[in-house]
Amino acid sequence: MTISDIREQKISEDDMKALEKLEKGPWPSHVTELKKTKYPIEYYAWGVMHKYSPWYSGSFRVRYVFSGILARRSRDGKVSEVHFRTYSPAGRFLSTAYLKKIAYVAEQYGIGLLEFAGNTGAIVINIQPDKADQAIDIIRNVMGSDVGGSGDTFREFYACPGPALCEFALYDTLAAMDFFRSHPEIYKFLNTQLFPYKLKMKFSGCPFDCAGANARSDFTFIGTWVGAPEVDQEKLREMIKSGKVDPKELAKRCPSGAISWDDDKQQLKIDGDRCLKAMNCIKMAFPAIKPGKNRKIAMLVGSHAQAHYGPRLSWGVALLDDYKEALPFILKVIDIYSNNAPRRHRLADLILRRGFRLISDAAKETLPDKPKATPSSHLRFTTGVVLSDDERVTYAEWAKSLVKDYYGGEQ
Amino acid sequence: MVVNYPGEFEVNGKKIVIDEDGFLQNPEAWDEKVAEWMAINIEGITQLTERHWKLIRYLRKYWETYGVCPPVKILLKETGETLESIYELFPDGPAHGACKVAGAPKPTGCV
Amino acid sequence: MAETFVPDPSERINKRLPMPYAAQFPDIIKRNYGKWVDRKFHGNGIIEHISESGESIFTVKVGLPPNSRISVDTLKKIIDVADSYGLKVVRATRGMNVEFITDSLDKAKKIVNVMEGYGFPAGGWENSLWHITSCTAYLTCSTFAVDAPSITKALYDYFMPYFTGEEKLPSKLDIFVSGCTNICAGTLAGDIVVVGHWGQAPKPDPEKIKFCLPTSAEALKKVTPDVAAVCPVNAIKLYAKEDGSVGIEVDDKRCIACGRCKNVCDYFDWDPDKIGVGVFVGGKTSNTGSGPRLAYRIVPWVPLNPPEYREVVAVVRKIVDVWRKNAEPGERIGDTIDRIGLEEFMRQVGVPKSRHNACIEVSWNFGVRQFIKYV
Repeated sequence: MTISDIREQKISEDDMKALEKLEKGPWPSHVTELKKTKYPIEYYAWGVMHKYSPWYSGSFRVRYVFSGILARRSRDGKVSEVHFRTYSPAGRFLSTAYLKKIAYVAEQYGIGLLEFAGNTGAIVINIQPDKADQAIDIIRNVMGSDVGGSGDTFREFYACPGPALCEFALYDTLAAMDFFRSHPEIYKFLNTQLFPYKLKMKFSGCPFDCAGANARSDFTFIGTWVGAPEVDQEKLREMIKSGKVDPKELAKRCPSGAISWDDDKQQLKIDGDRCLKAMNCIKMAFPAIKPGKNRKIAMLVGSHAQAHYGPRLSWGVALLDDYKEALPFILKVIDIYSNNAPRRHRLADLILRRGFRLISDAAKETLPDKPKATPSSHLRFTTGVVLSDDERVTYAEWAKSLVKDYYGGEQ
Repeated sequence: MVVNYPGEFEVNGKKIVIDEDGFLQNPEAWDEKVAEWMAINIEGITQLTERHWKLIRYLRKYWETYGVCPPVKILLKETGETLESIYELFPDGPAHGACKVAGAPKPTGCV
Repeated sequence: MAETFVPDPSERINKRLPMPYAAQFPDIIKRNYGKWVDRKFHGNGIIEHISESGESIFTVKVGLPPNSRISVDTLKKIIDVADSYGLKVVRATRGMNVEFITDSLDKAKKIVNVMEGYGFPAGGWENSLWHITSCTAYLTCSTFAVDAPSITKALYDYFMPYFTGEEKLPSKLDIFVSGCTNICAGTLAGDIVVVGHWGQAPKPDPEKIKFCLPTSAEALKKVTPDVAAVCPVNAIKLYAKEDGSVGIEVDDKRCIACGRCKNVCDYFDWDPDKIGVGVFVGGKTSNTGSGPRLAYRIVPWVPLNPPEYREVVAVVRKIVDVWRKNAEPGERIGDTIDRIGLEEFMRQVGVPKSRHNACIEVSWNFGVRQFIKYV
């Protein structure tokens, strides 16, 4: 297929027929949903079957809205696609009253399509271009939300449900997210794009890290504790007697070997110095074993999915007693980042270029008496590879042999 | 008096090609007369003042050097404007309004 | 909804403050905020959360189409079910599914019945497939390589019994499917991460690349334009042509197919037959077992045959089968790899070894483990 074939983008009946295969099968199909809306599905069909995206970047104008609007145009130039990223409340609890307003906007001003649980945390609504101006006002004034979270600014924050649903939450993640987003010093960055690249902040209530904060945010807050988990020996003995818990299994599954079971005294001993907060024991014997009473909030920096030097997990900075204490540190780091990072470099890229001193000096200055971490990092990962023709043939043949094993050679 | 695009137009003896989103497809044909024509006929601006021209010239020079439109922070610092004042001069904003008139291409993606 | 006022557009430049998190809570959650003490599982995606006050609420997790793309029609069905049998509140989950909230086990089971009647399965907690998240790829994205939603549909079709709980797994499993190396669907820290990539160096589009380059080669003496500066391995070379304009050349021996050039300039092209997906295995964000870690690239490239993608489904099936065969109860894939060794895991999967998957085994010490003072 040549470049001019791609540019002509001839959509055929075969493409649409092949797309129908995506409507079969037990799982609910997105193609069925798309066909109920005014989405230009022929372009999607062309894309899937030709293995090439049908969209180029487009341009779109809604006066005074600086982020949150994305526009695409098809390769042959005929069709445009516009969508908005709308903010959700922390924890993403959505009442049916709010959802009815969203349905109204999507129907009257959109094409009837939306992405319900976007990965950045937003609800994404596709919009008809000529009604976008009014749609913005409805979203702001009737729905009570706003459009934003794209570009070189603060992206939408994310918090695990925390105390709203979960017994493991070690601090109030939802209040933390609201505090930071509405604080004037951070709020002022949301309206313009003044950073070299994006910044994200995510909040997890406990080391289970259900928000995925450790792997995808620049400022990470994870609830934790110091020392050993809290053990209610009476309750534990009851659970052992009823067969729910096996104390030898508890000791075996501890990754640092901190647990020992004293059979004579019928007591569980956990060495607080060796406890890695892996929570395997808590998961197995809750509520007899709970997180320790000395609760802290761990603050880490610099993780992301993909940037100049590849994916990265976060570096530890400090243990806080309250999330509000982090504010001076965050503002100092934003300042350092804005002034020193080249374009399209994330915070972790800057740390790799200039050294972790940048962060630890800022921490020493703004959080002087908080316990600090021993930060660790890892080698550079690349996600894509460039293969030679021979290698491509080898892997294709291996994949084909697996298909034969599983599908029995039927075509 | 915004014209319909896409299409080909003649400005000051030169042929310019405008795409579906109003952006210039042959940047080598750009000059200040083309910028003025685009501001009036594509963006719907009635009159270009000295502040308009300061912005357009700065953006053009930046694009001719770097191949991209400047990040907003540098734009605001170098021209002394604020974001609100840029929206007043060019209602479609710095990237889709002012950069368009300066003959630069569409800004890319969202990641 | 009468729109009788017209706000001034310039107000839009200031984003609204967020809705307070409690604005959309049902009363029972407001009463018991921070007071939850236990949970019980009731099969097929129902969790009962028990509060110290004695009240409990039930959540029901229901799967949505890939990339949680729904029409307004489906949204109205969800609203209807939440109004009739729930507490008029739903939650959008991290795994791009929807969770209904209600206050009795009977109503929760009724929700399961009604949603399954509409074609949406319930499940996805405890030792099952929790979710397969997907980015939007060919639906709305211009920095593409492969179409994640259709690959996700093919995977979900096969793995659905693991979501509803009919088939058992040793522990939780989550799969992320991303259309390109920007990994917008989740991160690289997932049990199985499928990442589309080009498998080749980019070719500048000869007609349109001029939009991303400076007009005159004089500029190259002073600065490095963005399109070359973002390349992490300096594979993009800009030079002065005879007529004074700028030429561009991509060194395909240095290129690592990371896609950063594509992010700043639309006008690169690729040969569609060389595009494929890489499969990364063994990552995790949670602190359990061996702690947070990134995944290993076990399979560098799998070809694509839309719309059924049998090769991709077969590779993921093989990896899950090897995990099920070797895992102890409660072990995630990353922990199993740690215990039996990466060499052994790859040998059982049977993937050919090359310079692209000569994975180095590392020991991980991330997340809150960095705060523990090791003696």
